Amino acid sequence: MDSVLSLRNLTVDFDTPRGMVHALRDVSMDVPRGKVVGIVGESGCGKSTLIGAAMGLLANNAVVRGGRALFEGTDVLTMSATDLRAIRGRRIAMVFQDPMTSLNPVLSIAQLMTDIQYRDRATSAEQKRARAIDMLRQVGIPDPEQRIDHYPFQFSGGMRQRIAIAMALLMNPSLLIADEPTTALDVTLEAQIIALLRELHGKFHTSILFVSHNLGLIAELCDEVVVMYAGEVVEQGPVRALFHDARHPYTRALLECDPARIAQSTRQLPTIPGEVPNLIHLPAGCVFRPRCSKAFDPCGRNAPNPRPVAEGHATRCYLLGDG
Amino acid sequence: MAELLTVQDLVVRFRTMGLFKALVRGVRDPFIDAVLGVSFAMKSGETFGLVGESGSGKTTLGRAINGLVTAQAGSIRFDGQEVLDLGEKALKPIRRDVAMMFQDPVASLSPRLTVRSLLTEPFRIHGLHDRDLNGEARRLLGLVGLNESFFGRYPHELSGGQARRVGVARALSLSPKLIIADEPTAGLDVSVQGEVLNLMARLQRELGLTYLVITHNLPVIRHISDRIAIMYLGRFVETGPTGTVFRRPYHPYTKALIAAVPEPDPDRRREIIKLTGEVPSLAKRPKGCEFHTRCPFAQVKCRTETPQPQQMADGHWVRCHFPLAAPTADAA
Amino acid sequence: MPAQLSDTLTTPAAALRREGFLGQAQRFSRDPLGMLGLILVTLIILAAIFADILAPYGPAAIDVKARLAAPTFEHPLGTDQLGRDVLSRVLYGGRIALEVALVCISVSLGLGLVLGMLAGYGPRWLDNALILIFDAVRSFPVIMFALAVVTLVGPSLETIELIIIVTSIPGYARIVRTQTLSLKNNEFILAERSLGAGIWRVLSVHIMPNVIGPLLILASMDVPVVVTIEAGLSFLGLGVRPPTPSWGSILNDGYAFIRNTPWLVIAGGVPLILTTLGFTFLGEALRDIFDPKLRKG
Repeated sequence: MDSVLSLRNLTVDFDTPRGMVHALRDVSMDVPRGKVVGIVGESGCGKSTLIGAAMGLLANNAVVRGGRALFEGTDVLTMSATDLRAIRGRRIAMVFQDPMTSLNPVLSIAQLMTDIQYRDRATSAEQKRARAIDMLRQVGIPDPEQRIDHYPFQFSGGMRQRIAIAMALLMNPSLLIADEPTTALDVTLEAQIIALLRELHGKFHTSILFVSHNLGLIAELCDEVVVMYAGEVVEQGPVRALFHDARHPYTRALLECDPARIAQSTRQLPTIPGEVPNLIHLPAGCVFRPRCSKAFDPCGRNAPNPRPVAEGHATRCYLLGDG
Repeated sequence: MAELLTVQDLVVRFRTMGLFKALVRGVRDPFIDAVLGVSFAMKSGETFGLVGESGSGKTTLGRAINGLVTAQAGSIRFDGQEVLDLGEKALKPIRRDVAMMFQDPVASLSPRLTVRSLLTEPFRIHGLHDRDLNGEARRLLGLVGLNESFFGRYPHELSGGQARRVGVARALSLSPKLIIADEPTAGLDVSVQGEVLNLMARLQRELGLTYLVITHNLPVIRHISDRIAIMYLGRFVETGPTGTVFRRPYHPYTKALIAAVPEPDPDRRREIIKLTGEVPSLAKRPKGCEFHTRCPFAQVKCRTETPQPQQMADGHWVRCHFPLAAPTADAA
Repeated sequence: MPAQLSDTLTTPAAALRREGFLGQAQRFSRDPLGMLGLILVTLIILAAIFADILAPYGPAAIDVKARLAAPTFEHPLGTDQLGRDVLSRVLYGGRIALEVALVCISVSLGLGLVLGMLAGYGPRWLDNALILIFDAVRSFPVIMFALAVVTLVGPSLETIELIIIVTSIPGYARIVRTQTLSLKNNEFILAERSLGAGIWRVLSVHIMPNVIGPLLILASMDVPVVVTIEAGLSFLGLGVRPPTPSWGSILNDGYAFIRNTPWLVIAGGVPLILTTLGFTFLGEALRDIFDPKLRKG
């Protein structure tokens, strides 16, 4: 299949004074062209490291132990800084969590949006501006001809996130990475932004890597889902399979914990006992074993490899049946 | 049962600019109303949920009850005593009975104090030096499911869930009657969120606590509260038993809020978003019904007349000229 | 591209934050300028403390035979116009310099801390009043102010100390005030207030430990400033009274006899330079480790 982004057996450590943090271990995943792929996982699962690797923006103390991060066929991890800069913002764009801080406050929207187009030497300033205005209209900024000369602080949070999306899509990138883009917004705005992303995806067919901890949003927006736990991909597959036929005990537990999925009002909510393992001293065998209610003998000995469940659906678990 | 807390027509106003600036700019009323005419009562032992988006005044209302912000008008009676105009000194004993939990589990703990000092601090504040402080700290940690091994840790060395537990333990330290919990699950992962809520429910059963839970998280509040109030621009737009409000919302805003929560089911995707626009700024409070600028059912009357609360069913109040007639299916 | 990519993508930030004292000591040892600063500062302090042991002669002892002598085995830094041993005077002068620095900085830091916290945490009118006073004091040029005070009370070590204390309080207070203002509305302060904590408890237990760190770093970088003010005033004859040795008065003597010997100027100037470099390097290294946000560029 044609993939925009394709991570193959990616293993990344961080060298810290306390020891090696094994942040990503043997991560393989794909963002197929034109699809929306969601990454779910709790804090410390490696979501941010994964995005960093995909953009070739890992922290200085990161050590890539193995694997590749292929963007349209080229490994971003071995690319030169100049080549990377040529990709970022044009081929891969990103929308951040907090629209209050992700826009440079001293530049007007017009300046911000023409700056991204600096590589288009052939295009005139008027054309760049016109293109920016058009994109602002597409993301639902009312009266974009006037508003484009305003500064970020003159917009509300929801509007700023719309502008961030407009900036990301301006160069028509082949991959849009959205890192918790609605976490800082209110529920009603969140719904609007998700609807906007879906509408724009329908229009531009940009592939989207959507990172969230909110299962509801993942279900709402994504075609495929990758579930991460403690630096590993524990399960991945089509969104329906994951929500209706989850195989990994962690995925199941995560779904059970979501209060929005519990129809009957209750004061005793389900939880996942135990804590996320220390990424410096990992437990032997399967990473989820210490918290898994279904753990049995082999889980303690060797870490399971991903096993196919159905077409496009794989999980890292020795238990594949219903058990 | 007698009411533990009664709030009547409470108004909290904030100054938006200095006297001089207001004079120069010709602004006659340099104030915004963060809370505007809120009334409610809480019974001992119940959980009351305060739901709203940012700018709805829910946090300000919670802080006003504890005296952290000063209310300008109305009345707050706690356990039969008026607390509205009490000074810092007179508030001190009230604050033993009304504890608070703040949004950020880690940032609400004093960063240079160890867990042990954090837990004994409330006793020091109130001059209870005759208590066995170490014993009290141990007892409190035990209550929230932690142990003595946490004594020497600093807030940044705790996970979100652990820090939240320490926050709960601190709130419990002076045996309060009422706990005001501002977003008790903010910043916590789903699996940890359940643990904290279960802990709060257990403590409520065991210690007979009363909770005022402030949140924007509808799926959570649906499970943990007996009654809820929906706030919009400083007013209660709808109040009632939690189950009833969720099943049969009368206010268009309540209904829109509930519909905005995404369903974690890929087969039930929503196609249309009913509520457009954003919450107006408090400085530009709309005339008439505050919600009319975003309401799909707004009529002429809504733009001019402020609706008064009306009772729709037992204990279910709504502030709307045209309460929704019958529930319609939301899901597409 | 937006600039905060690097911020959001550094996952092990938490691990870095938790490295603790050992890790910080380790990082310090990797900073060569910081280590140099630490060595210089240690040497200067030791020399001042043990001046009476290290100095070959008393600071006022006169050797009439050798006046304005070049360095010899007997007088490693030579002698001044009265035949006093310059090395001994430099060592004792260091004592004076550091004593002034210690007294001035600790007093002004203490007062600045209290006033700054009150301005930041207290009511608006108090803040305005204090800021007005701070700015008024700061707008006075130090030397002019010193000249005026010395003319009124006469030159002495205490006068110098008073001048330095009064003029450096506003600097510390300003920084403490800004920090207090930003801490004031943090949730942990609200949490303590909601438990019933009063202003003094909030300031002493919860705000002070959070503002003192950067302040101490600043103080270490202020040591050379104070030392040079003392030397400067002594150079002008407005500081310590002769025959008490001071780097400033040694420099002044050297200036007067520069045609006869360069050694006095060197002997008075080099310790000043070393002190400045030592404390500045040390302060910068400490700042980089404990307060990376203040780092430039």
